[in-house]
Amino acid sequence: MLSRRSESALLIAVLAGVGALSWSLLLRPVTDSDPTRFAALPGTLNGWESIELEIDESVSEMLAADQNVQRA
Amino acid sequence: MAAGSSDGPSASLRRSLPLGLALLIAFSPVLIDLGRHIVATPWARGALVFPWLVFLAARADRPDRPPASGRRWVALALGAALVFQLLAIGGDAIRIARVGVAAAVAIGLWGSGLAGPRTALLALWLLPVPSFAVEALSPGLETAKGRLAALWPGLGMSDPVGLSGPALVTGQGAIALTPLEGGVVLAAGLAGLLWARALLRGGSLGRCSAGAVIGAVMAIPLQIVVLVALGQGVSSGWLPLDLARPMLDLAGPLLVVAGGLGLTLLRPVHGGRTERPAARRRSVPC
Repeated sequence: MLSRRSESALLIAVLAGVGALSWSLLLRPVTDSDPTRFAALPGTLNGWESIELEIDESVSEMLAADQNVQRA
Repeated sequence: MAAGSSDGPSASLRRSLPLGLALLIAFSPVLIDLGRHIVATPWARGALVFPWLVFLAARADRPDRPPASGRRWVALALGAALVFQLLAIGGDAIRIARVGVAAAVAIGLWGSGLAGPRTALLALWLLPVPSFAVEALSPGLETAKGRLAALWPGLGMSDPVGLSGPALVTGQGAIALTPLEGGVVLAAGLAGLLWARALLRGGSLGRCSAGAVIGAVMAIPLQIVVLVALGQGVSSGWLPLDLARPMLDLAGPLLVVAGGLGLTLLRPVHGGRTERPAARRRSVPC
């Protein structure tokens, strides 16, 4: 059996450890997307041709996407 | 966490401090996310008054001794909340981890004997209403309330066209109605306030629940009154149209915070029972 003091020390260590683990999970690097795939989207598909449309800056900001492609 | 140790409150506090700090560190990702949410979302700020109400309630609703299996429940709730937090962060859904933290606070208060079950349940109001609950019945709910407010002379409702949502039309322009005007946030806030009021007045769990239901129902007419008042203010020209929307965003939380601070004036009835002086006299040792 652990003494009261040892129990407390163990609990504090576990709590601090979980906190550290949580932060390391939270701050883990995110996987970078590969923007070249977007650019490689074909401009012609089944006889349909597309033209690039400039995306509005406010829309782009709101979407907060890594890459945007807008075609018509 | 022993309430009545022999070496005085300062020694007890000295022993509890490292544990309290460790708890803060363990749950810091969720607490910081909660803080950011409250800063970024005006309607969530009503939740800020509930730590104070829980503190007041815990003073009035402290049991004589902790429940027999309380320690085990506290350990279980704490462990579950920590695991839930790790899983939520791992799954990029940190926001749902706050449910575990609130539950751990509630069970911790009850299990450690710091507060009774009514205060423990009040601790659930420490969380702001989740966004999905605010938006669940949108746009039907805010449209219905807007239509009721539009019955007031001089006000009307817009016919939504395309992507534009419902709006309250005044003589000076239209005030856009958002899911917030559905009133779920105000209903939850008033429910918590009336739960706390019943608790501080010594009401039973049933009375606290009844208070919460009354508070939630009261939100419906109150929301309509706020809409009419702002619409009328804009119509008559004393309130600029561009101020109406921010005022709608802040009216609910301000009402809840003011109401919560107002409860401080209530004289708490200790022990969670209606005061019966004769019964108390009998319990005084000779």
